[in-house]
Amino acid sequence: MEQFKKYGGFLTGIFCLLLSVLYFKGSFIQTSRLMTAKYGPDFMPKIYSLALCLLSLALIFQEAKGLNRQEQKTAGKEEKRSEARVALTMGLILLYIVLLKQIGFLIASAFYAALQMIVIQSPKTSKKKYIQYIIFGIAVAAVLTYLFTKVFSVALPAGKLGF
Amino acid sequence: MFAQFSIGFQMLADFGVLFMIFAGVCIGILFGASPGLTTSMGMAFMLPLTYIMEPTQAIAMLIGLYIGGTSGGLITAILLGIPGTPASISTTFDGYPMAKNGEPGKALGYGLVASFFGGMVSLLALFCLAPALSKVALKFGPADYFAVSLFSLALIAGLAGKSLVRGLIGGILGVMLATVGTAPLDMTTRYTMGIHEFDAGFQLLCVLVGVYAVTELLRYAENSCNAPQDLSYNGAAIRGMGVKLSDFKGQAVNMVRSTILGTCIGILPGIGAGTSNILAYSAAKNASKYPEKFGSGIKDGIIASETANNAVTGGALIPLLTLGIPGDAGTAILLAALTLHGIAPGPLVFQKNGDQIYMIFAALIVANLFMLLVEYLGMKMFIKMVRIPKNYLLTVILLLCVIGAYGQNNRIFDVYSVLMFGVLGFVFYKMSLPLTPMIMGFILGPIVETNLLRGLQFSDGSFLAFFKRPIAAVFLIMTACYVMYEIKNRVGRGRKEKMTDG
Repeated sequence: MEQFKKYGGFLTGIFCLLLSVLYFKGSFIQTSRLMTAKYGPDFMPKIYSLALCLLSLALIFQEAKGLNRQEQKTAGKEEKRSEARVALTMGLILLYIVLLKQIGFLIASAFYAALQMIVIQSPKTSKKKYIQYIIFGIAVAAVLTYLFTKVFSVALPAGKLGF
Repeated sequence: MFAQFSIGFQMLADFGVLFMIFAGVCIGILFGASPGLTTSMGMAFMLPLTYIMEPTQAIAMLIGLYIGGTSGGLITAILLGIPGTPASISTTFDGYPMAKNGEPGKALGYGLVASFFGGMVSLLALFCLAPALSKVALKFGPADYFAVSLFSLALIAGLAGKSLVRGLIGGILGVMLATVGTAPLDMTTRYTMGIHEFDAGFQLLCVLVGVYAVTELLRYAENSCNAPQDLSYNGAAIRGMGVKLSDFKGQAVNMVRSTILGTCIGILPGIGAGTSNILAYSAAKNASKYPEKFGSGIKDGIIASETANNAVTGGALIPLLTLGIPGDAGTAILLAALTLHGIAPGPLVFQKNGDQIYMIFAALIVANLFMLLVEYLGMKMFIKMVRIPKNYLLTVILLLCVIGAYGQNNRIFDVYSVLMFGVLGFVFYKMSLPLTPMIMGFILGPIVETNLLRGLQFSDGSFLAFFKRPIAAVFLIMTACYVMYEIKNRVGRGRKEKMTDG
């Protein structure tokens, strides 16, 4: 992680540089149906990829120049970060979307809401709150389902169970 | 004009519509007052809800949210020293010290009155300038539109934050994302990778909800080990408005200057309330006879900041309504809402949708009045609402976003898009790439491309023809000057920082 912080700017620059090359390559395979037009749908993408390429090089150059200074500046205070919680949250949202079609909005939302609140709760929170999260998750999913399907007549994913 | 205004007010004379403005103002204040939740985020969340409403109710609600959200940031800025939105950053400089000095009521009172003044006076500019500007806009050809949108795109440099290069990279990536799907004019599909769902491009709502809501949730998840579950309040008593009319003696110049600054910044697409409050604060400090007192808790600082950020609201609606160009993320969502409900902002908007436009003007006046009333009456209650633990708040918000994204076209693909843009927003955050330029690039990219290609078709492929049109030439020169100024400014600032470090 420390290495990423140190070389983060470099990596961003290199990533954007590669992206600009891929984007530029992608602009060639398009064919314009308006054969009379001098400038087709590939014109702007080529300009954008060129601009991104130049900016990426500028960022890499900037990072190379300012690396030493940045090293001194970032050596200060460090806050605790939780990559595991981020990964869990991403996974939970993905699972939620997959489940939406299978078991419907009501059950999937209750399940997701309870788990999401547990995942992002502060470590200082007592474990007794788990029950509270589960009840809140079920309640909020039920209220939203009722509100949107019955009051606002919005179609929500029903799933194989039909609700 | 007065006849049209009366039609506008008549359209609002319905309990449902007035209630929607009131609800919008309340929700806006809640979002504005909650650090981490912004006005545009609130508008993005509520936009899907407006699908099922009558157009008048839907637009009225979003107008209320826009006005309430811009002002709501002052509550936490003054009471907790945490700006609820970027629009209230400089309100903390003097507002929080004044509250700590035992005058929280007074500080809130100054902020409230200044917000109301800025908002109402900038509306005057909107009423007077918008119809005239729409007549000028009728003369705009593709080349002129291209030049104006290019100028707006160049203004991204001002939103770039500390690093110009990173800001511009963000803007370019936004523009590139907008090229996915069907190309303008000849309808060729680009960058779809054979996935048919990409043919129509990405929906603006999915992009906004993803990068604001999901990214915020991921950022909160990352920092949740350090985050307090709720915000602490110092418990100081707030009584009444806290200020008298005589307290504003000697502030007229400050208020007028800040309103003009805020309105002008609002008119320029790409810059918003986040910049205007800092600019107005600096201007007030520079013009003051006692600049050394700024930062110690004086009313001048609060008044300058709050007048300017609310003055942006009227100004930002001028290019939105007359040119169809949004000034910031909030007006971008308003643009989406207007289009959704059959109003196409642009030069012909006063001819085609005159009644609705005057209804919007009337809604703005009512929303400002509601904002004053709600903030005056509900100060204590809002403080309690701000203390809702974020793990509850963000989870409920995500459920609402899923409903909104799915409700657009009844497609699970749109929900996946929200997650994809959320992850992308988080990657941007990790790479220190600012999100606002990305969003502005995403919105302005297709406008620039369409009008450039149209202009080139008219001129038979000649770029020089763009300089033969006076409006286009002026804006192209302004773009070049602005870019040079910004580069020079930043190079100078960089040198100064180097010297200080040395």
